[in-house]
Amino acid sequence: MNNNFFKHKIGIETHIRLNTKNKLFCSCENNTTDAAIINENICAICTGTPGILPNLNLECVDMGIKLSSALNCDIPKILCFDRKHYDFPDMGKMRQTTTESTPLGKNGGLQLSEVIVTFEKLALEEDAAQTIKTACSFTINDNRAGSPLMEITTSPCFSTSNQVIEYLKVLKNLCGALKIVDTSNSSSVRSDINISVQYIINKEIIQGERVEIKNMNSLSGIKQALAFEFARHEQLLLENKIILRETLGWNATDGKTYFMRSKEEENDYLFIPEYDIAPINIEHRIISQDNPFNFFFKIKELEQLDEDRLNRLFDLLSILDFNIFIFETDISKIKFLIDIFSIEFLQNKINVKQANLIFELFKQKKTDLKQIKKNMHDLNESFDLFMFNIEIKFINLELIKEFIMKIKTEHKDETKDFLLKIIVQHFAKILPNQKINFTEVLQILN
Amino acid sequence: MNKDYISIILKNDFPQGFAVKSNICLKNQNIHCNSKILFEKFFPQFNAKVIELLLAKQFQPNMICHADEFAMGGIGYSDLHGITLHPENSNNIVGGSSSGICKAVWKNEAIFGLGSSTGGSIRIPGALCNLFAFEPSYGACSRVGLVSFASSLDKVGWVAKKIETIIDVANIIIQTDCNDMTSIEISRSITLKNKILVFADEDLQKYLNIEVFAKYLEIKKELSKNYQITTLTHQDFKTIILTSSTNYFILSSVEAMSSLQRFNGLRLNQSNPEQTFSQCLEETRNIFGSQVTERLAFAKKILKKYPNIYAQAIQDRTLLKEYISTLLENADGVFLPTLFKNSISVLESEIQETNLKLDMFSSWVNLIHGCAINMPLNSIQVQLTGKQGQDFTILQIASDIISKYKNE
Repeated sequence: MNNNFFKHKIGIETHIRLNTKNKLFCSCENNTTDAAIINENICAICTGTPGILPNLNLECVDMGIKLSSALNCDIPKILCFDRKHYDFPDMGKMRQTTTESTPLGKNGGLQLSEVIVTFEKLALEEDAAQTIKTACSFTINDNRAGSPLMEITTSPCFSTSNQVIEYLKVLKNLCGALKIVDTSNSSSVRSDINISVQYIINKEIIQGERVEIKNMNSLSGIKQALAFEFARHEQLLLENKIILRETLGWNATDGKTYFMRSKEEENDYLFIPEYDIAPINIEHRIISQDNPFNFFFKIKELEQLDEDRLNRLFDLLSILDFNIFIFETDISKIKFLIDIFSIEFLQNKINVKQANLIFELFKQKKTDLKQIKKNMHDLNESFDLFMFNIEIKFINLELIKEFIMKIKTEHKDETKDFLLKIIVQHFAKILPNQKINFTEVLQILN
Repeated sequence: MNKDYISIILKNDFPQGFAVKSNICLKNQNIHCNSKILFEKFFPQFNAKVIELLLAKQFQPNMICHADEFAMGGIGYSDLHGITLHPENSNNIVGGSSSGICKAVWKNEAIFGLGSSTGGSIRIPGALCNLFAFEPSYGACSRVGLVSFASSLDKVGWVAKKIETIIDVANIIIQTDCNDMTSIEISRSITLKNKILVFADEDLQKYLNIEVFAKYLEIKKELSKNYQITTLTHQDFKTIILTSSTNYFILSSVEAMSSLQRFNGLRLNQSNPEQTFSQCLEETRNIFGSQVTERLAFAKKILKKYPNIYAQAIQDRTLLKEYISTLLENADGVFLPTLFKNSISVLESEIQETNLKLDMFSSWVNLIHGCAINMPLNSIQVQLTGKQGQDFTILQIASDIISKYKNE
C-alpha cells in the first residue's frame, strides 16, 4: 500500500441574499434582481451619509432565526451587531455591520449522504455595493448595498467536490422551502471556498497553506475550480514549494484561478461593537414568529386532526427536536413523516413504542428509509405491512384526486402551494415505478 | 465682526433664534464639522431630528458655530478655523468642543445653543463661559442628524443663560425617536430623595485650584442645609474619576476611528481632471487636523497591537455603570466641580496636562450614559450628575438649588 497520499480539506462560506421586502437597515426596496439603473434604489442610510443612523429591519432577523433553527444551530438570546472595518470603497460607511460576536446560529449540523456538515456560525450582515470597473472609470453602484445576507460558515468538513455540491444543492432547496431566498436568481447564493491540502509521507504530515476562492455561484464552476486548485497544490507540495495564503478568483473562460489579494489577518478587520444598534432580544421573537414548529403545524393540517388526537401527537412530539421537520430536505422523507404522524399513528396502526423508536432514529439523524425499515422489522414483523401501506397509498388515481381537491379547498395560498409542491415531487419519484402516467397527475393538479 | 466663532449666519435678529454646532445637520447648509474634509462639500438633505422638533415649536436656528474638528478636543480649536477666544478676555479660551455656541449665547446672539457632547463638550465651554449647560442621558434625545464621533458616548446637549430656558428646551427635544434604535423613554415624573453624593475633600483638593476648592466647600456647606450629603470613599474617586478618564480616552478614540473611517476622501470629494494622481491624493486624503490625526493613530495602535486594553476598557465601563447605578439607588445625584479652575489662557491650553485635566470631572458621566448639568454657583462652576433616565429629576434639583441661592 502506498504510504504517501494527499488529504483534501474544504470549508465553505456561503452568502445567501434574503428576499426581504426592505434592506437590512433602511426602507429601500431589497431588489433581489439588480435594478438596471445605477444608484436608483438608494437612500442616506445605505450610502453611509454622515449623521444618519441605521434602523434594523426585524424581518431579516426572523428569516435568520428560521434558517438557523433549520440547520440545527444554537440561537443566542440577545443579538448584538459589530463593525467590521476595511478599506475597500464598496461600503459607504467604510465598514460592514455584521453579527460577528453573537452569530444568529452556532454549532449546527446537517446530515448528507456522505458527510455530516458542521456549521461554525451563521451571521447576519449587509451586502456591499457593486463596483463596476472599466479601463478609464470606476463606478460604485449602491443599489444592492445594505441588502441582508446570511453568511453560513462550515467547518472544513468536506473532502470532495461532490460533497460540496450536494451540500450547496440541499442548502438552496432548504432556503427555497423556507421561502427566505429568491431561488430563481442565480446570484442569490454565492460561496467562498477555503481549501487546503495535506501531504502525508510515511505518516508524517506536511500541511499546505489555506487559500480562498471568492464569489463562486455556479456548481460546475466550483467543481472545476476545486479540481484545478487541488492539482496545483499537489504539484507545489510534490515540488516542495511554498503555497501562499491568498485570496483567488475563478476565471470560467480560462478554467483557471487568478490572484486577487493576499489574505488579510482576521485582526485587520478591527472588530468593535456597533453601538448605533441596540441589542435585540430574540428569545421572545422565536416564540411569536413563524418558526419550524408552526411550519410543521401547517403540514399537519393536512388531515384535519381533532383536538384529542392532536394532543396525543404533541405529547409524542415533545420528545423530539422540532427542527427535524425542516431539517429534512428530501421531500420523500417529509412525506414519510407526514404519513407516519398524521395517518398511521392516528389510525392506531402503530403503537407508541414503535413511534418512539422512529423518533429516536430521526433524532440520531439516521433518516434513511431502508434503515428504519430494517430496524423496525427486527422489532415487529407487522412493520413491513405498515411500510407497504404508506407506499401504495397514492397509487389509486381516484385517491390522489380526492386528496388534491381537499388540499385545494381547505388550505390557503401558501400552505396549498407548499403541499402541492410536495405531492408533485413525491409523485415524480414514486409514480414511474408504479407505471402511472405522470402527465395525468399533473392535469389533475392544474 | 469677529468671526472666530460663527461659520454661517442663517437669520439675523430673530427673537427665537438658537445657535447650532457645526456637527448637527441642517438641511441644505454646509455641515463641515470644522474639518477640511467636509468644508464646502457636505450639504445634508435633511434636518436633524432635534432641529425638526425645535422648528415645530417656532424656534429657528440663526447661526452655525465653530467647534473642535469633529468635536474632538476640549479647547475649541480646529486646524481649519483656528481657536475661539473668550468674549470677555481674549487671552483666554472658550473651551470645547462646543465653543462657538457658548460664545454666541454669552454675547446674547442666540437664546440658547444646541451642541453635542461626547465627554463633556457642552459642560466644559459652558463652565468657562459661565452658562448653564445640560447634557441629557444617552438616548434621551434623538441622535439622528448628529455627525457621530463616538456612537456609544455622543449625545445632543444645550447651553443657555437661564435654567428656565434649559428646562423649556428639555421639554421639547427629550423625546423618543423610532429612527434611533438607542433612543429610550425618559420618565417625566420626579422622585426626590434629598440625598446627594460628593467626593472626599482631600481627593478633590489635589486637583482643584485653591480658589475653586474654597468656593466649592462653601457651596457644599450651603447644600447640606437642605440635602443629606454623603461622602464617597477614596477608592470611589479612583474608580469614577481617575480610571474613567483613561478608559474614556481609549473608548472614544477607537469609536472615533470607526466613525471617521468613512471620511477617507473616496466619497464626499470631487476629483479635478487637471490634477495629477499624487496631487489628487494630497488634496483628498489624509487631511484631518492634528487633534483628529493623533486620536486616529492612537486608536489604530490600540486596536491592532493591544486589543486586550480596549476589551478591558469596555468591561470596566460596564462595571462602572453598574456600580454607579447601585450608588445612586438611594441618592439623587453626584455633586462635583466641573473644572479645576475658572479660566484657561491660550498659552495654558497648549500644554498637554491642561488638556488631560479639562475633562477629568466630566467624561465619566458619558461613560455611564448619565445626565449632567453645569451650574454657575458662587462664582465657580459646579455640576450635578445623575444616572440614565433621571433627566427631569436632575433639572428639578438644579432649579431648586439655583432658586435657593438667589433668595439668599
